[in-house]
Amino acid sequence: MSPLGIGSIVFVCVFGSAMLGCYLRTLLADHHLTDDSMRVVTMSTGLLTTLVAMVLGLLISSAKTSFDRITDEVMQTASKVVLLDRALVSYGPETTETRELLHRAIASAIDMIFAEKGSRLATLTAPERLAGMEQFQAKLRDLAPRNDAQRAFQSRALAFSDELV
Amino acid sequence: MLPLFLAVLVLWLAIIFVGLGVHTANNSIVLVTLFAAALSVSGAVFLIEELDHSLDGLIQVSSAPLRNALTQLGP
Repeated sequence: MSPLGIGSIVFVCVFGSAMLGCYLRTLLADHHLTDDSMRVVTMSTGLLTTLVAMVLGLLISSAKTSFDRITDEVMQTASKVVLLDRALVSYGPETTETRELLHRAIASAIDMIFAEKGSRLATLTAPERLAGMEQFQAKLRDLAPRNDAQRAFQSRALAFSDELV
Repeated sequence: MLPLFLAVLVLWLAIIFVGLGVHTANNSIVLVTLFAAALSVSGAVFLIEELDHSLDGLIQVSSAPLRNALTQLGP
């Protein structure tokens, strides 16, 4: 169910129970509404209010933390993708095809993860996405470095691509 | 949020608001106040649900960093 739906249902329940309380007051005989009984009601409500305040505070802070963590991960992934691409550029012109493969894999991953409807974190590990990255890594391993610099760039690119998978 | 967890939370909230309703006289300012309080609390639950589903809905993780990176890749 959508968050808006859940929020509305909670609102209806909560406001409905407030209305129920108002209605109960008109039903109850006067001797139920003395100061003493009202004090008990106040104290129980206070107890629950403290409990709800703590739980809601905790839930909001943990939800915010997980949201920030995902935002951070997106940013780190973006920077790794750029660094990986720079490593391939430095390797030499023979990586053009590999870079196109990377471009396609990343583009499809973005579309899959940030799709308008029905996207979930589970799609981060979707098999199709992994297949794209594995194809890219196989291509990367097939490169035949001719000197030490190219070897260094290849292993650097492989390390970044491992972190991306 | 787990459904059972949410159910217990709503139960607590309902008890609090029944208590508030019993406690007060029936007039429009009380009604408006209770309405605002109920709206705030359900707003908090809505926020928690939205932040939990961070890849869709009204509050989303921005895909801008990744899309920026993609424009830099240009073969």
